[in-house]
Amino acid sequence: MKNKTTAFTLLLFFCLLNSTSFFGQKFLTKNGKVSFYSHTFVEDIKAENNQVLSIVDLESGEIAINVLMKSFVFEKALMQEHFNENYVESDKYPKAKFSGTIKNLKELLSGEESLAKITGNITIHGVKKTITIESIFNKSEKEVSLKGKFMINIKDYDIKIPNVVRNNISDEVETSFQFIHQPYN
Amino acid sequence: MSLKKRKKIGYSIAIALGILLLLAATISIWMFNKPHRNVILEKPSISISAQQLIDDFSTNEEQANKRYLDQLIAVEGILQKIDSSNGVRVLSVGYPDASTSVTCNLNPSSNKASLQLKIGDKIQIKGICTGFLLDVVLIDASIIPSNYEK
Repeated sequence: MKNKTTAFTLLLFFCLLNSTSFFGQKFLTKNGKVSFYSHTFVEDIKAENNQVLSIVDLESGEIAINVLMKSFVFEKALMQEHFNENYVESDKYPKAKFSGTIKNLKELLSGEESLAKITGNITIHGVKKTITIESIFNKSEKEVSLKGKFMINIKDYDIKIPNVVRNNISDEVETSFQFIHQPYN
Repeated sequence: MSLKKRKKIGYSIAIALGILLLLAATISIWMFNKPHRNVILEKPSISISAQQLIDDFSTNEEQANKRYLDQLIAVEGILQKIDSSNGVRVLSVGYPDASTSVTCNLNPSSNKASLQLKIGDKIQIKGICTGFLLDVVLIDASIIPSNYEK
C-alpha cells in the first residue's frame, strides 16, 4: 500500500515536472553579469558580479533576478571590505532581488519592438522599491538576452556613507546588467 | 645658544617631521592598496563534501550563511559540468543524481589545470563562498591537486 502511494506521488511529481518544462517557456542563467560604476571627481569605483541568477518566463513575461552581494569584486580590497561591511551590510542582507514583469512582451516576441519595458520590485539592503527599467531584448532559438543599465540612488536604499568618504562615492550609481538566458530544463 | 646650533636643531626637527610624514603617507597608501586575499596560498578554513555543503544550505540557509560566507572552503565532489562565462571557467561540483551543485568560478591561475579534468572526475576545489542561489556559489576558486597533503 505504502509503495503504491509512493509510486503514485512520484508519477504525479514527474508529470508536473514534465509539464512545466514542456509547456513553460522558461529561460535561465546562473552567470548573469551585474556591474556598477560610481563616478566622482575624487575617484571612480567599479565592481562586477558574474554569478547573478536570472529567470525569465516568456509565457507570462515574469522575470526574477537574485544577486549575491558578496560576489561583487572590486579593484581594491579595501573598497570591497567597506562595501560589504559598512554600506550594504552583506552579512545582514546577503542578497539583492528583483522580481517584475515585461510589459510589452507581445510586441517583443513579434519583433515589433526590441526594447523591453520591465516594471517590478527591487530589494537592496532590505529596502524594497518599485522601478521601471528599459532593456535591450534579443531572442534566438537557444537564447534570450537582456542587457541594459539604470541608475540607483543609494539614499533610496538607506545606505549610509560616512562623511570622510562622502566625496569619493557618488549618490547616483550606474548599474549595468547583461543576462544571456538558456532554455531551462 | 649660537645661531649655528639653533640652525642644527631646526634641521633635525625638519628631517624628523619629514620622515614621519613619509611614513604616514606610506602606511595610508599601503592600506588603501591593500591586496585582495591570496586564495591560492591561503589554507582553507573548512573542508567539506559537496553533498554536506549543499544539504546545509538547503536545510537552513540563514545558518549556513553565518557559517560559510566569506570563508575559504575546500569542497570535494564529482565534476558535473564545465562551462565558460565572461571569460571565467565555471565548474559545477556535486554528487550523482543531485539537482543542486556547487558552482565554482575559477581563478584564472587554475584554468590550465581545469583543462585536464573530465566530467565524472572526483575533485577537490577551494574557493570563497558568497552564498546560495540555485546552487552554492564559490568565487576565486582553485583546484586542489589530488596529491595535496593536508
